[in-house]
Amino acid sequence: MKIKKVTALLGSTRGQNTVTESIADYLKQEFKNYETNLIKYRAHQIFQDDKVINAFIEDLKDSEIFVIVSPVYVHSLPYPVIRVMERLEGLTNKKFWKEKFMAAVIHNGYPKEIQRKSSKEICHNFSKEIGSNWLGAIGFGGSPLIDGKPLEDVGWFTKNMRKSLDEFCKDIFNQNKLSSSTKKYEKKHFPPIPLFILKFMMNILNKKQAKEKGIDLYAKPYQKNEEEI
Amino acid sequence: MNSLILNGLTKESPYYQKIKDNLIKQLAGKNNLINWIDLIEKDIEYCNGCGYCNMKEPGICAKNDDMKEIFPLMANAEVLIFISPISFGCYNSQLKKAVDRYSVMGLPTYTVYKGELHHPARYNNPNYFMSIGILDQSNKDMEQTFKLVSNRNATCFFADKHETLIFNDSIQENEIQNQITNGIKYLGVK
Repeated sequence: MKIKKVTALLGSTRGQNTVTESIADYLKQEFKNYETNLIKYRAHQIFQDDKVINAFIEDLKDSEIFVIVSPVYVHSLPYPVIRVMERLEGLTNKKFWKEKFMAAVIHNGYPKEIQRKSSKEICHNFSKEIGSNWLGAIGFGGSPLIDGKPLEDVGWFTKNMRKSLDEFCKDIFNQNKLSSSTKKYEKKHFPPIPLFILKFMMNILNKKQAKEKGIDLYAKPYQKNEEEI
Repeated sequence: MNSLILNGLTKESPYYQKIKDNLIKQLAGKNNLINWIDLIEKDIEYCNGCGYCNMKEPGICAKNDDMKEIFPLMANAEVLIFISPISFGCYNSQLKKAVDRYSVMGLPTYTVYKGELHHPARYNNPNYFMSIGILDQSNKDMEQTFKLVSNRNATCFFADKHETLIFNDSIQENEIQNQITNGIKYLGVK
């Protein structure tokens, strides 16, 4: 089966200039090399609109591949992605998914893979439940360094990430499970910087920004005093 | 002691009353102020990651919805309990919408905890965290993922102790009672 169309569900709720969009745009560009078209849908724009979700399902119908590209919100997928998954399960059947392949790209700010693992597993469970063919998931930390820019423009930091995404597209195009090469570059993505240094650097930046804005980072607007408790 | 229970089950769920009765019975004996929230009755918007609660007005959410009454309960909860049908190993969307808003409870700074980077808690962390998941039928993959999600949340909430309970159709009524009793006992809620 030749792969002609990929439908991507984007999990970020922030709008257009996001890391999720950067990754999806990179995939779209890379798939062009395989003469494959990638269609983007933003989960937060479709889950509550029947017209849009129907258009999404129509695009899925003639897609060979379904890809979820999503950030991690509080250690799992954002609400709109879970809602779309629940709706898709109700609106489609196993026959719809039988010939389709599914994969996921998960990202967040944290360096450790364990902080993306549950989101990858949720995508995998979804794939199993609906009866699609699971190809695998990859994930990347350090999202704030990308900050919605095209991945190529970020430079060295996204070098291995781009290699992993290139391999990801190749695997998907060939309908193969994600290869060791894809995984190898995924693992090499985040440089081995000790966490205390990362913490120190990011806290300096945050505190500097807070000072400039004149805000109290440590405010406790909902703290009750002893008498109230 | 303050307890906050965020419930993602509908009242029609056969588990709703059993879980509610047993949890309240267990917690009531511990001088607890219990806040049970049926999320379906609340007007809650999804988090759009605007960053207002981080770098514009720290600790305050820009959205004007029913989370405004839940945030103070979250901030002062020593016992935090999530209840939800399991959606693909995650909380269902009803509960997830409220959980995503939890970022208001964290600081924008970073700390290293259990060998990982995390945002420190803005308030005293909940001492005890429990999540209760419901499945129609046993499903090892989903159960494993639900435990992972629950475990990850316990870590990011800096809970001193946590427990995950999963019920499915094969469970007997007295078993629900036993598991909740043992779960609360395990947490050591005083």
